[in-house]
Amino acid sequence: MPESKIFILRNFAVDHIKRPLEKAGQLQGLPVEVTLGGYDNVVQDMLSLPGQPGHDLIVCSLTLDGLAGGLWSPSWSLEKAKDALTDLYALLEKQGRTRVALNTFVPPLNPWLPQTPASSHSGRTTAVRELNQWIRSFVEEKAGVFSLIDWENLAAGIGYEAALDPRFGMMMKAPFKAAFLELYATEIIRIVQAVRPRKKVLALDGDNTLWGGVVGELGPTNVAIDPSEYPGIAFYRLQFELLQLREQGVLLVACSKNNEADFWEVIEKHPHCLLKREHFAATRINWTDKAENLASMAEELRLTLDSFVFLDDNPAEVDRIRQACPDVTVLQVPEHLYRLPGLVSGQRLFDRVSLSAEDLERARLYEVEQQRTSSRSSFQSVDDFLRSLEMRADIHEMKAEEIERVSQLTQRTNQFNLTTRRYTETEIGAEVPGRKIFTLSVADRFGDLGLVGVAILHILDDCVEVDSFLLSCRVIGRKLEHAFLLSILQELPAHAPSLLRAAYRRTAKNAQVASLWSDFGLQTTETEGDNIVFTGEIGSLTCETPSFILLTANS
Amino acid sequence: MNPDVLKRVRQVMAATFEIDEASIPDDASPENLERWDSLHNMNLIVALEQEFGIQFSDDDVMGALSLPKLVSIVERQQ
Repeated sequence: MPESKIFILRNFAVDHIKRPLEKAGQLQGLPVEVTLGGYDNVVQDMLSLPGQPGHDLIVCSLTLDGLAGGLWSPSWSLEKAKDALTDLYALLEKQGRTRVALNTFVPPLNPWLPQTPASSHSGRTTAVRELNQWIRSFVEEKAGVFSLIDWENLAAGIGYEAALDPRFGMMMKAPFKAAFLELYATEIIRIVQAVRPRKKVLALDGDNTLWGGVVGELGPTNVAIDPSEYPGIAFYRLQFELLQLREQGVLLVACSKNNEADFWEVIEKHPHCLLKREHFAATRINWTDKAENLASMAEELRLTLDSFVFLDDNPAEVDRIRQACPDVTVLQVPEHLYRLPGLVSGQRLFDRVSLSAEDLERARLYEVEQQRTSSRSSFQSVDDFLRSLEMRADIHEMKAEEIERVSQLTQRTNQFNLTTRRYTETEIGAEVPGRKIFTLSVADRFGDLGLVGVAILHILDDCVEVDSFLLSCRVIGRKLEHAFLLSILQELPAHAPSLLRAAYRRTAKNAQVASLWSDFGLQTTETEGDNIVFTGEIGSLTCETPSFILLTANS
Repeated sequence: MNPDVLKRVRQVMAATFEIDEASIPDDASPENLERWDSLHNMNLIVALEQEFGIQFSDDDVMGALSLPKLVSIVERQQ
C-alpha cells in the first residue's frame, strides 16, 4: 500500500504528533508520511502548497496563541479571530484539491474573571466556545473540502489535566500532552481513511448480539432488549447505534444461526426491539456456515467481502470468519456488555467525508431489494407475485466475456446446484468436444440481476448428459429453472440424442433441489451413495416455461 | 557523581533519543548530540521525571542542557 502523505501546517510546536501519527496509521494498516510545515509559517506554507507533490490530507493545526494577536492580548476579540480564520480558510479552500482538516480550540477553563452573573457571558471561555461553534458550522457548510477535528471535545473527553501541558506550553509552545496528541493523531488518520472508505456493510448475529439471551430458549419476547434493565439496555443502545449507522448509509445485514421464524418474531414482537425487518438489506438466518453466508450476501449486494464488518458473540464464529474471510473486519461482542454500545462506531470503520454518488447508489439498490421483498407479501399467490416482477430471461450459449462469471458461479453456488461441480476459468474456457455451456441472465422491473444461471451439457452418443445445472441464490424461487432447462434443450442440435441423463449429487447444502429431476418427469435409474442418476425422454418432460417469464432474444 | 544515577540517566537518554548508549559522550549536550533537539529535550525531561519520580524546577527545565547538568539536577532532588 502506498504511503498516505499528510502535510501539517501549524502555528505552534506540534512536532510530537509525528510518532503518534505513524503509530495510529500502523494500527489501521495505513502507512503515513508526515511533513511538518515551518513553525508559525502557516500562510507561507499554504501559498507554496500547490507547488508540492500531492498530499492526501492537509492538517491545519492552529492554537489561539498565534492568531489575531494571541488569545491573551487585550485587543483580542471574537470578531478579530473570526476574521483571521476566514482569511486562512479562504486560502486553504483556494488550493483546491486536497482535503483540509481544521480544528476547534480548547477553551481556557480559567477566564480570569470573578464569578459574577455579569462575567458568565463575557470572557475568553465563552468567546472561544462561540468561535468553536462558528468553526463547526463553517466545516459543515464546506464538507466538500474541510473536515473537523474537534479539540474542544477531545480535551473534554480525557480531561484538561491529561490533555494540556501548561509547562511546555508556556516554555516551549508545546501545549499538549502525549495523551491528547495520540487522540489528535487517531482523528487525523480517521479522516485520511474516510476519504476512501472501504467498509459498507455491517453483518450482525442475533442471539447475544442484537439481543441478550437465546431466543430458542427464552422465547421472542423474553430476550433482553428492555432499556430499563441490564443488560437489556446495552442491546437497546446497540440497536439505536445501528439505526444511526444505517441512516449514514451503512447496510445492516443479519447473519445468524437460528430458526428464521424465531429471529423475525423477536424483531416483530419484542416491545423494545428498535430494529425492524425493513432495516436489513439482506439476511441469512439459517444453519449454514457463516463464511458462506457472508460470501453469498456480498454477492447479493454486489459488494466484495472487504466492505464487510462482522459482529458476533461466539468466539468460534469470530475465529471462523477471521480464518475464512481475512478481508472482513471481525468484531466480537465484549465480555462486559456495557462496552457493547459504541464498540462499532468507536472503530471508525464507516467514517466517510461526504456522501458519494456510490453511497446513494447503494441506498437505491437496497431500497429495490426491499421493494422486491415487501411486494411479495401483498400477493394472493406466488405466481401473482412472480408475474408482477415482469421478469425477462436471456438464455444463450456462453460468450467469451461470461467465462469468469460462469466459473465464479460454479465455485460459489451451493444451494440450487444439482451436482456442485467446481470449475476454474481455464476449465470453463477450454474447448471440449460435445460440451455446451448455457447461461441465464435475468432482469425484472426493479433492475438487472445479471448472469444468474449456468447449465453445462455433454452431447454423448446415446444421450444428452447434464453435467451441471445451477442458479444463483439471488433468483431461487422464481421458477426460472423451468424456462432455463426447456430453452437450452431446444437449442440442442438436431442430431442430438433424445434421451436426457441428469444427476443429483447430494451435499450438505443442496437439499432443496433433491426432487428437481423427478419433478421434471425423469426416472431414477441408479443410486450410488450420494449420487442419484435420472433419465427420461426429452420430449416427455413435465416442465413448461411459465407465462410470467418473458424470453428475450439472444442479445 | 553517583555512578548509578549517571548510568540510569544515560539509559533514559538512549531510550528517548533512540540511540546507542555507547554513543553518548560524558559531556553530551545539544551541541555534540544531533538527536538532542527541542522536541527530544521535552521528551527527555518528562522521561527523567518519571524514571526518578522528581519534578524539574522551571530553571532546571530551561537550563538542563548537558548530561552533567542533568545528573546534578537528579542528584539534588533525590
